[in-house]
Amino acid sequence: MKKRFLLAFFIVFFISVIIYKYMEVSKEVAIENLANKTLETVKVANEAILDTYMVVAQKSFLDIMKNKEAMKILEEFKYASQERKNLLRGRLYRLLYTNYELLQKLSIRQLHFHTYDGKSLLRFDLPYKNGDSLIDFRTSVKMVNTNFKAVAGFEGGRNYFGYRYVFPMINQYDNLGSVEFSINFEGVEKKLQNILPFHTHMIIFEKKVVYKHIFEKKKNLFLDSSFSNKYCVENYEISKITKKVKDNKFVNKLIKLSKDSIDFNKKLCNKKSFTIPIIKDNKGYIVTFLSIKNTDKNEIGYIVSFGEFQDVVELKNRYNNFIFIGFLVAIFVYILMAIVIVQVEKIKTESSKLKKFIDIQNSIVILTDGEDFQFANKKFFDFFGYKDLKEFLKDHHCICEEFINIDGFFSLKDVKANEDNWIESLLNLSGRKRIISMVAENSMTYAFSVSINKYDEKNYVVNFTDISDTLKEKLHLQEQVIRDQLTKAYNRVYFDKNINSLIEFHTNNEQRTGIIFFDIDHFKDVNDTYGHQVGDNVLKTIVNIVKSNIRSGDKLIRWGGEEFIIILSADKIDDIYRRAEHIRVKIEHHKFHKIEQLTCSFGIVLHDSKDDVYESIKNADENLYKAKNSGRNKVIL
Amino acid sequence: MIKKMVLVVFSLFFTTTLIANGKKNINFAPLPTKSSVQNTKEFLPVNRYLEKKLSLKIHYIHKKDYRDILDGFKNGTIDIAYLGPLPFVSLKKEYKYAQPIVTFKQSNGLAKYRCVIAKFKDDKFDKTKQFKVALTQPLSTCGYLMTNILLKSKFNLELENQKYNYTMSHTNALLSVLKGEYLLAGAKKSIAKKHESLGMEIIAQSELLPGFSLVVNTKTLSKEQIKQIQNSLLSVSSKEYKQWGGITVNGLEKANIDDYNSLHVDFKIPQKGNIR
Repeated sequence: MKKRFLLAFFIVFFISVIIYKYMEVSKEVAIENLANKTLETVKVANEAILDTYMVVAQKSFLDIMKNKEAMKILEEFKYASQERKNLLRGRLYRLLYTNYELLQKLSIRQLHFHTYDGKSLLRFDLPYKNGDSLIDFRTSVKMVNTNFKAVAGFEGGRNYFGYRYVFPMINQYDNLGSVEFSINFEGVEKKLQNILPFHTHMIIFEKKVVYKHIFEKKKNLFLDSSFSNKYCVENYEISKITKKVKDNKFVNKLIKLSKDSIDFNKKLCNKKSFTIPIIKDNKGYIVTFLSIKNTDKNEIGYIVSFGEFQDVVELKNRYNNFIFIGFLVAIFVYILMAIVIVQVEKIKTESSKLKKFIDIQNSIVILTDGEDFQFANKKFFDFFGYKDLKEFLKDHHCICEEFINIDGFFSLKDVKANEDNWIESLLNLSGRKRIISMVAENSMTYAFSVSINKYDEKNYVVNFTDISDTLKEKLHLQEQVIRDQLTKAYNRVYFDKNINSLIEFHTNNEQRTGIIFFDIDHFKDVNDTYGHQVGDNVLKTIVNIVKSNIRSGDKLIRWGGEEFIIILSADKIDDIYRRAEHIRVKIEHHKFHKIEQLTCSFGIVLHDSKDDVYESIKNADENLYKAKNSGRNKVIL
Repeated sequence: MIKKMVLVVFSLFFTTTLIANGKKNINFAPLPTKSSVQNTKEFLPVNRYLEKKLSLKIHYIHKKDYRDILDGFKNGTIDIAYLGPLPFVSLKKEYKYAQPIVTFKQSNGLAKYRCVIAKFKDDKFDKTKQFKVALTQPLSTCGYLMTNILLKSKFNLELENQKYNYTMSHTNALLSVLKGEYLLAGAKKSIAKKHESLGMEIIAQSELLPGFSLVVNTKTLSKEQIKQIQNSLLSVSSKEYKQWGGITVNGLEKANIDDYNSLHVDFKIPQKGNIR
């Protein structure tokens, strides 16, 4: 039982561990889903901001395209001399700087005109810096001046990174170049702050992407990010955001906690958006990393947002409660299992006792519905020589197949058409007749008394009690009663008991009954001369000779002393005579011990079934008398 | 006598050690005419170099104008400043502990520069009419001082008779002309030249003037430390300076105090413009 308790404990423990793990995983998934909602919020807010900028950029672009003077300057610029270009550039600046100042108020940092061949025409933030080629490191400029379609996206440059909106300037099928409106992250951050006031935002760039195009001398404008040396941020002395974040204890705390989280570096290097939900001192925080793609569709960094996230604590507590309840349930289940084990053990002990009790029975006991076996005791298996029920059923369908078809014993042939099975058939018999015979493994035939008791709705307990010895004893007694003890021939008791049925049997076989009455001639002299021992031997010998010369259905009866009767079937008196004569000759020619020769005299009759058999016996006796009187050793009819 | 000598030697040794240790936190004031972001960007490589080489920590002190820098020198809150010649001369007049140690070269490889008057090519310069002049800062060499001198010498005009205002930087002065807000701008030639690509033209230029220098506060920094800083800066090759970029991109040379002699003239510079 200890083993079972241990097993139950391990099962409950194992299931509990699986459930615990499942709950833990579910908790992580739920937290991640919740965190992803925050990420989604940042993403949506960011997209909304960028879309807003897009609208502003589009509107500004259209304003420029509608500005005839500006278009005239740009048209002329394309084909002007260098000196003229300088003047035109100045005119363009003078014409549009108010537009630029307005855009600055909308957080657009840069208004930048490019030539048709991808050179800087005029940067409004740094007007004197112009003429440099952008085509090799500004995908957007290249794309716009190649495909003549607007391009929007995050992009690096020779100095800074920012969101760019670049539009082609086509005037009457003439590509005049492109115009770009760009915003730095500070503009986005300001608006993000308005939409998500409880979050702090910063931007980090993949260092190798930043260093790819930026001027060598500008590399020192970037610092390693606190998250990883593979990422960088704008030097905090030149970026208000970096400076703001640098001094923010809350942010620094979350950066440290993020870095301590599992798989942080793996997630960071994966470049896909992700979240780091954090629970510290029962307070929830979240750090979201919104992946930024540049115009080349490559991930180049993240917008990182820091905020409080109390929902995650509630979620965690909820799951912890579930886990605790699960723990209690596990204990409860274990207790239940323990109770079941105890009960099962009790039942098993009881069953075992019962089985043992049944097994030690000398009878064969089975539980069956008449067709299928439910149970069989040890005696059953010992008797038939099978290991178990399964093995027995490989060879048999039913124990009833083993019932031997013998007179006086029940067998399957005794099952009547209106009876369902052998059980029903046996139940319909009186108890005394419920006897069957079966052959044991040792090829011995045994007789059984069958008792049947209802077990449940369907099944019966069938008990086969071995009555072979009892039956033999009975038969022996019966034999003793109907046979002569000296000669073993039937006696008068047998005659009286069976003569009518013998006659009936012959009649049923359309034959008549013949009676041969004979006795030993001068038997008194044998006894007197050689003693009773010899006389007894003579009687035995005579019986043996007769038995050897009559048919199996013929019955030899010692009528008394040296007188015998043979009851036989016959068609006519001649048959009887011939058989009597044959016996007489056999006896006559037999060489008896000591006395050498003996004869018998025979009186025969053919009995009519209508007559009294004793009358016929008397007639036969009279015929014997006649044979005696006419010289003995004769058959008289 | 021997005792006294030992004491003097010991004292000298002790003092030298202390001086050699020097000040670890240096307050540096870059040019007020540029934005703090721009200043930080430009001085970042050279300051990092000094920080690393001399185990210093350089703190940026961004001042709004030259007056604040002069005050900073006086009250000891500024140890080093990046100053043009006029602010230095003004500072020197009021504060004798200011000393230039290195002068920055320009793109032409010279440590001296010129001031110019520039205008947009499209705009007409009618000397008979009053016009508006964009200036940098009161204490900017190319501001009121040289613009006034150039107007007088080249066009026989008095700045005081014109409308003028301070735009706080050379670029702002030039851009304000480009925008059409002013007719003329007084600025450093190198900066004005850059704006020629925007249709600006130089209509008058000065003689060569001493360039921008790093000026140290000899009251807050020890001679030894000043020497270390000067030597450290002069020991860097021009090739290396070029790689660094920023303010030192063209290299630098040892400052000569005599270059400022021509600027030691009596002048009275209005602190505010005359345009309301």
